[in-house]
Amino acid sequence: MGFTPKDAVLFDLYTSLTERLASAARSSVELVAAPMEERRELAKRIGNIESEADELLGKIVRRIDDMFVTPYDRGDLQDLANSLDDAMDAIEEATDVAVLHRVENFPPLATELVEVVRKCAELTASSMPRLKNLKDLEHFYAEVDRLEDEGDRIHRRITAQLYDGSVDAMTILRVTGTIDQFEESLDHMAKVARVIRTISLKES
Amino acid sequence: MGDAYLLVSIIIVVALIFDYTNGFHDAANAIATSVETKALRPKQALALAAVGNLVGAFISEGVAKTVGSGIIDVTPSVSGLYVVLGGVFGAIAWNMITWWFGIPSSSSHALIGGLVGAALASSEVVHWDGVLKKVAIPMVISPVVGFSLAFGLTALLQYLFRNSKRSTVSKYFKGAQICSATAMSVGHGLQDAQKTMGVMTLALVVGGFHSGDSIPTWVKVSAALAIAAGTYAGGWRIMKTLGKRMVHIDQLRGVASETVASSILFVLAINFKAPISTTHTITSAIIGSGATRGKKAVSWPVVGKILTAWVITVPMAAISAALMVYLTKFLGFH
Repeated sequence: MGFTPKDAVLFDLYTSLTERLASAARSSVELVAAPMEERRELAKRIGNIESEADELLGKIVRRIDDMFVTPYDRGDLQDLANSLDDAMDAIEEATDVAVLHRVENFPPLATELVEVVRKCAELTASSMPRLKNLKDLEHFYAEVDRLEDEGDRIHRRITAQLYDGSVDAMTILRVTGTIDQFEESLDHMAKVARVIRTISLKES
Repeated sequence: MGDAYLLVSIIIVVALIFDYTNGFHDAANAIATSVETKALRPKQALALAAVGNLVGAFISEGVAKTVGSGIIDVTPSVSGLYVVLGGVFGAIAWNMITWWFGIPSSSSHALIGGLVGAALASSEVVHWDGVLKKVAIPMVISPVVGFSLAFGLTALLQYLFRNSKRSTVSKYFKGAQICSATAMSVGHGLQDAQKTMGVMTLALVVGGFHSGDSIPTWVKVSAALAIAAGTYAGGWRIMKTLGKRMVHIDQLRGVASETVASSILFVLAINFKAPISTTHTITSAIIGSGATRGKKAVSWPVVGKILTAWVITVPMAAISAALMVYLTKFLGFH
């Protein structure tokens, strides 16, 4: 399929970036479940993963900028890298805020939300190697869509529980600081899937 | 001779307007890519295109001679002038109809179809051999060759520059793009201005104002100026062309498709004296260049348009030209 050279290094960089995303999401699951005193260590680990991801992003952007012949539309490739970075930043912010705001106990539904984030990030990481051939991605698009919807629903239910009058205002603010960012990371991953779909529609 | 004088004047004016609108509509296509990739600023590109049109119009006479004397032979007479008039108006009428209903068309095909239809309607001579060899075959082959060569050249360039840095090669490609865009404009003048010259000369010969198949200098100059003026006036369409484009064309594809398209326009005009559709040629080259990305990158509706234009335009323009001729006969003009 196609006679446009596919730069192997670039595709490997994207895959590495999504692997970092998945790894950060897995640590987030641990962080939400962990007691407060163990969270700092986990947040630090996620912070380090985020720095690695930033380096990878820099490499990707420079590589796209350097290449005269890009495998896909230059703008789409940049959008893809930026959306992955946005997803990563949201996860990092969610976990950092959880530590800074010293959330004592997350509502049980928060575990479900972060579990959805993990699934979505792992699916993105396992699908990314197929960016090169753009084959068999239908399941990926559909599943990311479904996970984003599920995340939205859980997020709404959490806020509804927080606003039911039994929770004090400070706790509400502390918790939403984190769960809003998890929900946001799902939006960015949905954007990632959309960009890949656009590429696939244009090229393949 | 008063009638003949009037009819020849009408044909010449109409042919020049046809030429002007041709530049107005199509020239933007030739330079749009170089503006898009910022190799040229819109005004520079426009001036370059207009000058390219002018130069192209003077390079050879082959296409003009084919249109003027290679397709139909009309007995010099007032009645013969109605045949030429019918041919030109038939082509324009069909262009209007297709434009109104949004049916894809090609003005070059319509012109040839119109002339043939008008000649058939009044039992004038149609050089079927010329129609086949210089019109039908080249018109079908040029898009196919354009697609294939552009595909090949793009694949080759992509392979050669696969490891190149944008910062080093981009400036060379900008230069190459200015050259290929200029070549396209020259090819455009070479092909389309000459079609007008052919019609003008045909009218002059049939009206008894000129003999032989040479093209009078004033005919060349006026046809060249009309298309160049049209190009310059239609410059604002560049932005429209760019806006409408779904997939943007990168530098490499711009250079590859324009190089192939202009080469085809040159070779067919100069070596084969064949009038072909400039729009179809560049469009098929752009499609071929994009197809290196995969078959989804091909705009199939556009391929359909080209095929429809092959099948429908020539006969329909011929029919509408024949109707024009019958109408003027019915009205007792000749």
